[in-house]
Amino acid sequence: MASDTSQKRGRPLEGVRILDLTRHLAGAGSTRILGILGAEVLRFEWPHPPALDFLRLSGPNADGVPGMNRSGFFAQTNVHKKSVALDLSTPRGQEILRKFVPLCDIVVESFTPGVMKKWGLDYAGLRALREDVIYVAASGFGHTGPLRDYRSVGPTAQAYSGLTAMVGLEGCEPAGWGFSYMDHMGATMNAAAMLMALERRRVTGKGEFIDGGQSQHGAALLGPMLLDATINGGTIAPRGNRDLYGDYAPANAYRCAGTDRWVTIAVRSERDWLALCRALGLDDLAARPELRTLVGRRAAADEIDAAIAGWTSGRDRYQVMDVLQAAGVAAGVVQHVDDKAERDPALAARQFYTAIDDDILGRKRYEGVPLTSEEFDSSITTPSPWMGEHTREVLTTVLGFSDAEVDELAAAAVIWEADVKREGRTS
Amino acid sequence: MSRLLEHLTVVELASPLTEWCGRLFSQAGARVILVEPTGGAETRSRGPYLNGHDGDPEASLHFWHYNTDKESVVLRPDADSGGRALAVLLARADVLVDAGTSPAVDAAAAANPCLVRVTVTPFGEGGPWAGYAATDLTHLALGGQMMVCGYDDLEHTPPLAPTGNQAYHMAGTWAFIAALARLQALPSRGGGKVGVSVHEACAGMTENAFPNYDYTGQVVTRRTGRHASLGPTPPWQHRAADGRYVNAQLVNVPPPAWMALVEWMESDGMAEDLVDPKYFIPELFREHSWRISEVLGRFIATKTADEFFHGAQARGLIVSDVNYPQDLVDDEHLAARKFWRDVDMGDGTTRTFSASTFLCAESETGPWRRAPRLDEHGNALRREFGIA
Repeated sequence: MASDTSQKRGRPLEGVRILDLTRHLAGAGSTRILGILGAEVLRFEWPHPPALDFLRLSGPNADGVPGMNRSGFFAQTNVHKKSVALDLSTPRGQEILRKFVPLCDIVVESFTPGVMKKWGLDYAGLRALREDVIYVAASGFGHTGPLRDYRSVGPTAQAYSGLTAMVGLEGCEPAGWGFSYMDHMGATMNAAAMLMALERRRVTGKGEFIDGGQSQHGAALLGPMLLDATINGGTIAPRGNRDLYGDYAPANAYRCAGTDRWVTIAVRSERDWLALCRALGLDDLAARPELRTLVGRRAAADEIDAAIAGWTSGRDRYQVMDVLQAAGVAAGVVQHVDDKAERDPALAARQFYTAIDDDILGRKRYEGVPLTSEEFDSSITTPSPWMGEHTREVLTTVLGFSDAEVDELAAAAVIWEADVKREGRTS
Repeated sequence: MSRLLEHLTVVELASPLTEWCGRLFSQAGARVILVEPTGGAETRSRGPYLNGHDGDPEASLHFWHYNTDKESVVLRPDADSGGRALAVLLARADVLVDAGTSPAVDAAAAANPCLVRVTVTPFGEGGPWAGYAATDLTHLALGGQMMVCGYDDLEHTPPLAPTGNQAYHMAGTWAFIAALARLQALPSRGGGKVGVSVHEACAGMTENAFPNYDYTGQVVTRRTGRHASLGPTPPWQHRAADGRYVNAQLVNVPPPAWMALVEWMESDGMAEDLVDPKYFIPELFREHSWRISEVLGRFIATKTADEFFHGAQARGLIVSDVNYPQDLVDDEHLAARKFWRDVDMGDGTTRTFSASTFLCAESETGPWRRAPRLDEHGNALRREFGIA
């Protein structure tokens, strides 16, 4: 919960309103970021398939009971938003959506290409409603190119872009990512797109359409491997945990005491190397002049790794990290989620996890954002919205509809409202 | 056509922690002045290098990749003249991106009340790990990425770190977001500083692992080629006839897509019992997922990875072939999306760089110019800014 002080500080995007048509993590994660930074995010959604965001039905669920207001994954991804349940498959629903466009700074969606055009809301259609509109399309493969109609989720984008293949042991099948990295990075890149366009408009007064494909964002994250491929050519393949281009050696994961307990160590220089040898008592290795050079340590990588593992294998992983960090050597425990939540002193001290209350979910913890500012608040204070929780509020306050008009729309099933009283929302 | 952020001047104090943020600015058309120490940016000594030029600081493809369009000037902010020069640069800059505070930089930054400063540090500027040493590998370990990546079918294998500076990509993108968001408050609040922690950027990107833990108390286990999960799950990744792999996570398969897939398999005589209507019931899909994966794997083994990728996507399935970086060079879709751009290297050659992945209707995005040589723009910048 934000303190009085933090509430007074405000958030940098206050005054920005977003018409949010995104789904899943790659889309909805981007408006989560802007919402936490202070934008008013109007999330348009619908409680029935196929329009229902499957994240609302994804586990884990509060008390293990499924329900579209009970998903912990959805809750994590949709803090600081308002939910407006509007049936966009109907002409009346689309007409109401159009009324919001002139009143919103940004329109963002994560549909496959063609959906917005079908509604007359492609960039030209949106511009006709608001000249300086910012429109960000966050699709899987982008709105142009031969694969524009292909669909992706995180693992698809990771596989296509080369990210999956670059996790693995030498000579083995790709190990890939154990989660949807490209949903997270798709979200941050989409957030960046919205903010770039906002910044341009701040100075020029002009709108913009940015078309970003999750799969291309993934390819961009291959980093220098891209130039290695276009300039040097040849085969690029992962090397386990060893440094791909051998800039750090030794660099690896080493087994520690306990089941599946590991620590990573990366030696960046001769100074690091000698410090590591001293800390671990590897005097014989320290005395060998050829190992003072990166080339020498790379050539002896197996021998060095065995010596380090011999020292770490019976020791507590955090103890290993602390001993090496005290010597100035980069070392980090391979932490699991419970380690981060319960044992990581840095995350605890910096209050990375925030517990907030929700009448259905109960008191749950939320991952924060990695930003610190003395002037602005970026803490998480507002739980995710229930489906249609803000339908009436937004229609009446933003569009100026009367309660009678809202009642009629509800009766016609064009809108849907959460039964806030029945659900017990008190905040 | 104008460049997206051409009105911005960004000063970047060279560091592995800042260069992706700087590149996002430079590829959006901002003017990025890269301040390097006397010996050059640390990442000029990072591989890969241009073939045959190992160790040459002017031939680091790592540096080339992250520093297109930037202007290089050598300054030592902690020396009097360097501090004054940095203050002159910052007086006309909109954004400073750096990787840690120092009295000299703090003093130089303080001279411009409208400056937005983003400081990226490994563990934040406070807390028990502030000042700890880190690399991309150790960040991915501490952040939780590694523990969920690896093999469940190869015994005694370690958790694996994804390759490619991903910790710095996560933090760099956040730094870019922080700077742009902070700029929006400029008219009302003036400049100011935002800190970005690489560790926290990583810690917040493991998808469903944290909600799963917070709601159930359970932790997920890494699986080969697919999401980590609480319990065993069937393989998504299958080897195709050409030896390449495909990712065939059958997620939220709509009935028409499922039927089209089964018809495709049946036309090759490989649907086996998947023609049974029980497999068509979405609610029972998860229950049958092991059998489906087994039969699908046999079918995929008869197709090339490309055949399956395009054939399955055409039928409404969300799948892909598993590419390696070198497979992207000739990819027609990326080419059509202008993912690659030839850049004049100034020595009579051109090289192909990856471009911005933001395609804009009203603006251009980069790259336009190769990465700078050390202090290449030092004299021009000193003249322009009146630095003695």
